[in-house]
Amino acid sequence: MEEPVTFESGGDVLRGVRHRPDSGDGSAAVVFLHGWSGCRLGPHRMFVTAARRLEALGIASLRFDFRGRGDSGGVTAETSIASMIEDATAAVAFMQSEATAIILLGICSGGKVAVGTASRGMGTVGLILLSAEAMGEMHGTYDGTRKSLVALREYAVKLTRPETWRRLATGKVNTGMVRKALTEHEMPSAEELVDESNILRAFRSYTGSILSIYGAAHPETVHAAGAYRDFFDAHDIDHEMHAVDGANHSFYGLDWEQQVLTRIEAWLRRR
Amino acid sequence: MLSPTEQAIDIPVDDCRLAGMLYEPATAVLGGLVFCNPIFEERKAAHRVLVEAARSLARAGFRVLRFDYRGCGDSPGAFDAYGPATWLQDIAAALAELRKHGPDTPLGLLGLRVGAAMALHASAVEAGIELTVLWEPVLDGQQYIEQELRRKMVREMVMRKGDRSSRDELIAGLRGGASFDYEGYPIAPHLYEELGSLNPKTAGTGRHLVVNISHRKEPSEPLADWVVELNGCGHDAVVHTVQHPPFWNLVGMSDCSELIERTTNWITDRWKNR
Repeated sequence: MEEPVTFESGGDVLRGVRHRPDSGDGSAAVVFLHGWSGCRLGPHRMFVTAARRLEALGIASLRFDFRGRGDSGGVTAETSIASMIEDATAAVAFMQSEATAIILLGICSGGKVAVGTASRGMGTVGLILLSAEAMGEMHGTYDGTRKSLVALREYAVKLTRPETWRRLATGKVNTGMVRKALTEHEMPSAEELVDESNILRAFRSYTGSILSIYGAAHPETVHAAGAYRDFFDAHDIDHEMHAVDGANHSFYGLDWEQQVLTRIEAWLRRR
Repeated sequence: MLSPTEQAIDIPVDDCRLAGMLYEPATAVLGGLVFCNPIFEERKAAHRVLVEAARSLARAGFRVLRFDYRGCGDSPGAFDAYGPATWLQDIAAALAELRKHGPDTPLGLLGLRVGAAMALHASAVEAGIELTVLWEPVLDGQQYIEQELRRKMVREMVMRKGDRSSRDELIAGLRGGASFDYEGYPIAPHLYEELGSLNPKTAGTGRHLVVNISHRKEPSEPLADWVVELNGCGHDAVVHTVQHPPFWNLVGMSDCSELIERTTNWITDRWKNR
């Protein structure tokens, strides 16, 4: 059964959809955490598909919109990783009446939020990180050059097409956006990096299990996956990591989505 | 001052219930609007902008209903089971739901991209639609789906090394009854065909605001010509231009306050002194 729900965080109303299975022992529930500019549907509606499949397996879940996103309250421009962690904490508390074992599933920035929420000692038993964004010192020397190269390659392919030249000739190509894609890469501020490093310090003692899945064809994601693996190994955090060959950041392909969902289901079954 | 309220509601259609969100103004209701979503990832990228537009209109005294078509968003069903033919029934069901909340309230439609094309079609076949707002409407369904196909192929050339599809292979597959994968959305033959035949040539008798959203100051030629054609057929359409990147295609949040404000003002002007 799917039902719209609301709960509060930071004085605003958060909106979401709760999936309640008809059967199942009610012991485990998954809380979905979307990315920075996403919503409770997830990319290509992947969270909806995942939640419905989990429901069929007897696992409850919650898909919700962070403050300033989707249908939730709050101001769009005021959302931050800190506010997202606060919202995810409220979502865990909301779902604790449904199940004793809460697992956070986050994609991209949502992965970072999962780590931040778990570091607060909310009693989550596991995290599922999908192409999680790097945090704090994990950024290291990564400067986005490889991402620029991927964008450059995409534009080079487009230039082989007559349609592109027609659009260029008629002024339909937004050159400002092209320049932005090639040269500007969002990086956290110095202050955000310090906050994220503090989160990682608190996360060192995490006792739950982690499943990490990432798209192997996305340079930033590959960098982040390596950094997370090193971190988990260094602090003896129980984890397993899978690359989806050829997949982009958010698994924009039915075969990639299928691989991700199958991995998640298998991991949850083992628990 | 009282604020508008927001409530998640179910909209019955055939044997299922669509997920909807109803925005109720705190003041006297000047009119009611059903929002018609775009599809694919455009629906996700536009979500917050449409929520902000609904809130702006509710503050201005309009009842708004946003909803998901069957197989889309939070509504039940698999994406590849449906297409524009079903989604037009869903728009009709949403209009019927809005009528239940205010039988005498004038009604309108606001749509984005494919949603705008379907809104215009609905305005011609559904009774009592007094206005439509069309944000960057898809004017040629075949061109739209071909453009999406080209995008798929460009991305595959960049991302997938040996596993690429050619346009001809995809079309041959569709003719043979096979679906293809468009960025995680299965496109079934019926959807390809229905999208391809989505050509907004007929419109209702109400007033139509067409908004061209692009980086250019002037409306695009095809859109301007299309509006002239609509008016030539006796319709009452006006085109506005809002200089803004295509927010339905962007990763990241967009501030569309100008688009929302101009739309709210246009609707208010039309209905306030009705």
